[in-house]
Amino acid sequence: MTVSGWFVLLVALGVVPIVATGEPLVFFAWLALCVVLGAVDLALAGSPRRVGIERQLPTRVRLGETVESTLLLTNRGTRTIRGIVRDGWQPSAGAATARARVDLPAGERRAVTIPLTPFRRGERRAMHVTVRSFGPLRLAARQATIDAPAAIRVLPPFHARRHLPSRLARLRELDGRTAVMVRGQGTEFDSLREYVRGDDVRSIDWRATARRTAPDAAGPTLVVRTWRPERDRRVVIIQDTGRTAAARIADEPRIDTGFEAALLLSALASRAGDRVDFAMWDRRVRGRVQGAVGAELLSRLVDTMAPVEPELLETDWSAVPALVREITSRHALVVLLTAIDAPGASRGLLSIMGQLTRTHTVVVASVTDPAVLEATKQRRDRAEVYRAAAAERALLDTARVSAALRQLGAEVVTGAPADLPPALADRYIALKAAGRL
Amino acid sequence: MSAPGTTVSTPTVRAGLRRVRFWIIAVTFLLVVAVATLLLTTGGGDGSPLSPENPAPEGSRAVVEVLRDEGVDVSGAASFEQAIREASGADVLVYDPNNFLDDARFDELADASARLILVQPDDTDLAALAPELDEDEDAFAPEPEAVEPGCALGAAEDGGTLWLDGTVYDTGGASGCYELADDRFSVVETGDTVVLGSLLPLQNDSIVREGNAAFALSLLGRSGRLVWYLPSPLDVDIAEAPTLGELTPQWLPPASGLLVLAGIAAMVWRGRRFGPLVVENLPVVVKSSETMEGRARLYENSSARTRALDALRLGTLERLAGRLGLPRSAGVDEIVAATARVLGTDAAGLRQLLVDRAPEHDADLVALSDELLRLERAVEQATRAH
Repeated sequence: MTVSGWFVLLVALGVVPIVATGEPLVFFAWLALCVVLGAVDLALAGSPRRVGIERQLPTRVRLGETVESTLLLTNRGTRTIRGIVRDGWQPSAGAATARARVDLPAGERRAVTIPLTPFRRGERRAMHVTVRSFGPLRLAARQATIDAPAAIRVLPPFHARRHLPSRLARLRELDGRTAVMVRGQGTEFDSLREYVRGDDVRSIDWRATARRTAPDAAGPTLVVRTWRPERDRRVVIIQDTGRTAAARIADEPRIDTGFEAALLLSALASRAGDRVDFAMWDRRVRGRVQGAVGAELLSRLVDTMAPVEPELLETDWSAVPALVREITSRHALVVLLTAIDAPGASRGLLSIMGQLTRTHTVVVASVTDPAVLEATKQRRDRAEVYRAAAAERALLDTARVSAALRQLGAEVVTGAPADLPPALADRYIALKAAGRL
Repeated sequence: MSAPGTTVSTPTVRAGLRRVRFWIIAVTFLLVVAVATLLLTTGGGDGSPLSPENPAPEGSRAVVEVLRDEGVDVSGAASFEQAIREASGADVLVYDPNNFLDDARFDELADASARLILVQPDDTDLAALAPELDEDEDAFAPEPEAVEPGCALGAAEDGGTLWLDGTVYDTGGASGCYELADDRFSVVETGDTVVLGSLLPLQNDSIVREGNAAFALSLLGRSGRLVWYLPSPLDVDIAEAPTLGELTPQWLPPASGLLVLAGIAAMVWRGRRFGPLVVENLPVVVKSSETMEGRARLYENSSARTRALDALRLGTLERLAGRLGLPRSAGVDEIVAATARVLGTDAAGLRQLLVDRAPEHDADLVALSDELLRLERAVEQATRAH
């Protein structure tokens, strides 16, 4: 039960007759009038308890996009409900208006549509719907809260997909290229075609040329062999969800940047014909996508990533080789999305790197903080010089860990949050071109 | 489509009452117990000091009961009119600590009574009845003590040594009884008025000390009829000036009351929550650069100049090596030599800057850091020109 502003005004208006008559009895008369009017209004208000609620809601939305959440309210009572409805969404679900006016005649159904623009990834929930029903005089209202749970899964935004077309184009350039400078096990023979100027002369297939050349021709028609990158390689992406993934760089948690990089790499690799497996790990497997291909891969990836938040504990790297072995026993490109910090903090990562690089090609991708780089250049006063020194020390630590990783045979990719996903994609293309997958 | 909502989580009025039933019962029970205890302990008597019905330590029921047993007609007066009515030919005891009575009423009372016994009067009371007396506030005796009478008052002779405290009076050279301080007396008789500066001879808990009981009975029982008058706020003579109540217009109290009620209604209007809160786990916000900031503060607070400068030098050396095309494994000497070659400067001086010089104070550190930046810029320009 509650009262409206009109009721307050009605009570306050009693001052006029009291002052006009100067009679203290008017006070009690007015009070009685207010109470009676309020009680009558309350008794005539439609029952908010007898509202049936149904929801129409998409199950998923990409972060940053807007969906419409529709409430279908049915008045099962005998009186019209005039009032306000509040849909109890969590604040981060980004409901445009929390409250909506409704006019619900007895026995009828009305739709209330509220646009949702969630601003945090994960599972966003609504708990209940509250209905406040005013009487015909709009003086007093009845109120009831009705349980109506709902949830919408907010998927990672995948902003990095704007880098996808250019990377796919570069991938296509690899196809049918003749001059593969390093022919490794990752390239395979594709076809024979006629030589055109600019092709690498080393790829001329003399035997095929001899077969092709007609005896009476004026000159020989040169034939070159073409190669294409080998397909059906394995890519295993491991996202570290330990405490370092919670750190924010340029107002984006490391884990979100990691997701962006993983999504871009998966999209690229699956188009290139490689198999992508994904796992999230801190001290247990937080999520896993295996054996999905094509469009299903990306949708399963974002679905798995959506509810995962970093745990505030140290990642157990010692179990990661076993995790990779569980996914594939073949040679694979293993991408570790983690943080390269101080040598002490990276000891676990370094200790297993040798095991991984023995059987796999390993890329360690880490976000670097542009603020640290910026701090090294700000040296105007004493405090800033000390800050620059601390920043230099942090950069040196990162460089030392990176050098140690390279020494153990891993590749290191670092970049600011916006640059890491394309940088990782480029490294993948380079490795593919080099036949190291 | 999701499951239709049917469960109402707001309790009905009946369910709400049932839920708080325990508390309603508990609070009612406690109230009943409290009221009962209050009634039993006070015994229905008047709780004020010197009240003839009050059996508490500060009351005077004991002396009144004994006086009645001795055949003294003690009547308690509840109002000024009653006191005047019963005063003729009687002793009147007045205790008026709040000054409810004005001079005129005191005079009226003195005229009507045979003898007036004033308990702890102050200067305003004395002005009307015994202007030769002055209350001496500086000599007020907070701690009770046994005092010799030292005068010829009848009651004092009966009582002897008394147990007294409280107000004392300056008689202006005339005699008084019970000298609590130099020439300051606790009991003074002037004409038909007896001034008693202490409550102790009349109160239940102190009446048995020393000669208090004999003194009180002798003082109060002399004439055989006693009016015990404790003035109340109703005895204030209201005929003199218009009170605040008369000055305010009649509509003001109901109007302000109504506005207070409107304010309460407004609180309900604005304060009623529209359904329960929805909880949400908030993410931890940890800035990645926080470790760097922390380390900077540590360097600064401990003035780790050499350590800070070494970090800056290592960063510069690494960048110089990269710019000059030296391998990662290049040593400090190689980098210094290569830099000196490019800039055409003295290698020893460069070595001082890049390795050897130790900063003496913070200004030194800032200067060295600026020099390092200048060096980097110079090498950058020199290599770009090549």
